[in-house]
Amino acid sequence: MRRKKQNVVFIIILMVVSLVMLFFLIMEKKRQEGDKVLIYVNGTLMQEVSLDTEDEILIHGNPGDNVLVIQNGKAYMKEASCDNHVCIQQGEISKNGETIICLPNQILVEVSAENQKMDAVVR
Amino acid sequence: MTKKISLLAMLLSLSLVFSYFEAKFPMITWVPGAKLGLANIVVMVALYEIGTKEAWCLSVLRVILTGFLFSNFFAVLFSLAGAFLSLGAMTVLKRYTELSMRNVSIAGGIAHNLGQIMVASIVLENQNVWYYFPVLFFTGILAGTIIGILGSSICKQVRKFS
Ligand SMILES: [Zn+2]
Repeated sequence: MRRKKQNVVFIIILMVVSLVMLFFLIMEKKRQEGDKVLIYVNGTLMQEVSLDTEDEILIHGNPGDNVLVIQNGKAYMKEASCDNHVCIQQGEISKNGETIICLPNQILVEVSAENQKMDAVVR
Repeated sequence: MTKKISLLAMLLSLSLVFSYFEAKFPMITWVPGAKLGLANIVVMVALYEIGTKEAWCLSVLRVILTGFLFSNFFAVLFSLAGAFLSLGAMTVLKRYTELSMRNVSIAGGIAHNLGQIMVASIVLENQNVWYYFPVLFFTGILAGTIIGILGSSICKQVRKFS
């Protein structure tokens, strides 16, 4: 009996947390579009590039290099020297705060919004 | 004793084979970085059928060996964090609760992804990586469910033969 109760409680907790996570996922979709990307290696800012350009950027990571493409206001990792290619699978980013991570090469690409629009605050 | 060691050696090589296949053929990529973690089945079977200590040994050896065989230092750190948090959660839940193996495995799957995000946020010194957590939460549940179901059916077979 106690066994069954514990398993039921576990599933209920799981469902409640799932709902919270779902809420965060929906909020995520509503985020403001960014206008530039920040490229970090090892936690240090290496480069700032506008999202309005069309560009291919070679990022010198540690230890390997990656290629970032900026196109139509979005950024994605096109080539990567890491072995798992999780960074390439992460796809396109364009919203404020979105990131692409390549942990093996310690590269982080982050979208940022230069002029934080005030309508987000509602006033 | 020798029986235990040979069983562990067998499980270790099995988990290396699983890890190798997952590294070479990342089959399910509907979500960035989502992996089924087939090797976790082996760790789970060890946890339930052999013992806590042995499962931890197996997990550490697997991560370090696959790390040196197929990737670099930060990738090792990344998977160590996932493996430890996952096995930690499963060890505690197995010992102190009466949750089913499937539910223990689900908790382990979530903890695994939580550990990886934690390492990413520390190594990259950026908190924005946490935006990935909601997605990873669900993939953790999915992977944990599949592994839990497979693991418990393997355990049943093992018990039948011993
Ligand atoms: Zn990468």
